[in-house]
Amino acid sequence: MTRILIVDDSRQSQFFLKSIIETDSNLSVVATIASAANAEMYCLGRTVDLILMDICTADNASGLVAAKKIKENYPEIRVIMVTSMPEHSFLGKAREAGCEGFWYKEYGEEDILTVIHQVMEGKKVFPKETPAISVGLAKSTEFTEREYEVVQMLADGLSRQEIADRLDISPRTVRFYIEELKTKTGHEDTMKMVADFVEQKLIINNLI
Amino acid sequence: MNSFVSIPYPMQLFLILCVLISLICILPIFLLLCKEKIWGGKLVLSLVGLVLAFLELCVLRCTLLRVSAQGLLAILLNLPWVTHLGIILFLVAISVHVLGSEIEYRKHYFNSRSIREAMDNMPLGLCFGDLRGYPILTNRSMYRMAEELTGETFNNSKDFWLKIKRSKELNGNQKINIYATSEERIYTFAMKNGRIYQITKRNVEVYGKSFVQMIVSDITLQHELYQDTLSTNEELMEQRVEMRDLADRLIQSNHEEEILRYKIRIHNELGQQILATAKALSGEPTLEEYRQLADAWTDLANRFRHLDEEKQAKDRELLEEILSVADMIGCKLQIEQGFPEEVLRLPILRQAIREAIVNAVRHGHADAVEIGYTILPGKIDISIANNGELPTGEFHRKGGLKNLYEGIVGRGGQLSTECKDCFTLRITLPYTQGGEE
Repeated sequence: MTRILIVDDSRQSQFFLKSIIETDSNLSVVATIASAANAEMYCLGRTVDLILMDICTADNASGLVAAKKIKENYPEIRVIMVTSMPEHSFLGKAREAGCEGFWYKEYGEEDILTVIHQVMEGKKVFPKETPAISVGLAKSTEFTEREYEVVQMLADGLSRQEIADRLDISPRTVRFYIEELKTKTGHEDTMKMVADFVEQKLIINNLI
Repeated sequence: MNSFVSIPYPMQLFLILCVLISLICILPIFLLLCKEKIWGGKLVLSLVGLVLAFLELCVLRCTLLRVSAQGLLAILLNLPWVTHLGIILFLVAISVHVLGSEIEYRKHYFNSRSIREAMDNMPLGLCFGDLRGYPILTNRSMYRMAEELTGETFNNSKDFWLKIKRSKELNGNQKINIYATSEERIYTFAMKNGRIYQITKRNVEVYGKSFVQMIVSDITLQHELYQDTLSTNEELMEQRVEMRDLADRLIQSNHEEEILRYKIRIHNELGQQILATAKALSGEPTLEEYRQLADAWTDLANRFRHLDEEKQAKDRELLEEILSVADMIGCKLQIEQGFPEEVLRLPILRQAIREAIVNAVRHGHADAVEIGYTILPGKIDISIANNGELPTGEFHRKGGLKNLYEGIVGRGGQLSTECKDCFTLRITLPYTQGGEE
């Protein structure tokens, strides 16, 4: 029997995942918690085989940070990151943290039970790429890593000069990136463009 | 017959030389031993050496000058030359032994002169005087330093002390410090040549008699180090004030960020409600739809009114989850009754509790954690103790505990650990009763 811990701050998600898992007689949900910060503590009891970890959890705890700590201290426990946000950097960060799987709640090609079984067999189950979400006239897969960085910093409220300083580029280059983004998305206003990215959950505004 | 005659002439001269050298070595030692009244084997040996040397000199004189002798000298002259050679060799051996042992002895010998010499070579000024101030024992440095201080010759320690005591300035030298204990008084002067002198006076008792001991030391280096330390301490104090300001600004910044979050939330919810209302009113709403709209607005208003309560409830839930998870892993968490609610709701405290439980169970195999508090003026002292094994060896703050430490210091607090009867995490945070600071 595989013992599963669900870490998700949404009661609905917890209920949804639990009800799916309990349809499989080989799987059992041992606990559900809202904050990833408590996940490492739970692992001390050595009563879990697999964790379904949300990325943004209660108490501003990052599931990715918790996953990394758990993989360092309890390598035998498998971790599948679960999220509804198609944020561009999550996939890479989950791999770096040592997670065994990644599943998009709304965009997953495979169902969660299949992912769980494959992970328990020792496979690594990751989507090939982040889901292609529409942002204005463009798809999320059309933007470069640097463009995502610029949009993220705009969403955090940084000025062009501050962005330039952080990325070690000139303010003119920052302006170029912004214009490129607006051209791709078809937005005329920078604020609307950033709001669209946030709305589509392609980036996370640190204040929300 | 003079048996020495058979020895070649150069050999005779050589033997005289040996006797003379032996005499030169032994005679001063003999005289020194007599002067210092050191009676003993060495004195007897040197006396024997002297007598033998004298006798042999007489024999050799008669031989060289070819004069005849009488009495004891005649008997000695008639002894075989081998005997004389033996005596001379014995004499040489005595002189070597006496000289060698005397030199060895003098290396470790203390007399009043050597003590005096040592005193004079001391870098500090030292004076022992009677109660009227007349110096009994004063070293060279004392005379020199006293003259540098006062500009006058050091004659009386009592007068010298009075000058030191009463003057703020002496001979161009400034008094910079006064210090006193029950046993001694200390004055410090900044000399016009840049040196720093410290003068101390205390009463001492030797064999039941009272004396005054005065010392003048050059403490220039120590004074410089002290000034450096003072200056460093001042800088540290300033940095501490800056850190405190930074912590306050950080708290203020966090607070403003939280307010901004609420503003965004209010803006969003209000915006959605307005949009929904505008859409509803653009059609022809029924009475029932009007009521629903009104209810939605009332609901929104209530939510905004109770935002703070909502946050408090959320914080309580987060703490309860920690308690619940601790219970699931077999660790009982107990919080002291009366623990201030507003402090319990702090995210930093939740972080500390988690950290304490994880370390207690993982490293100490604990199954109980107790959280206590003490309210002090302007702060709250929180203790998180567990019943697990105490750490062996040196304890290092790393990983989660290091992050916690930085978070607490950033809030203007302190974090420390104790390993007495049990392992305790001790946190101090700024706090005023009735509301967190």
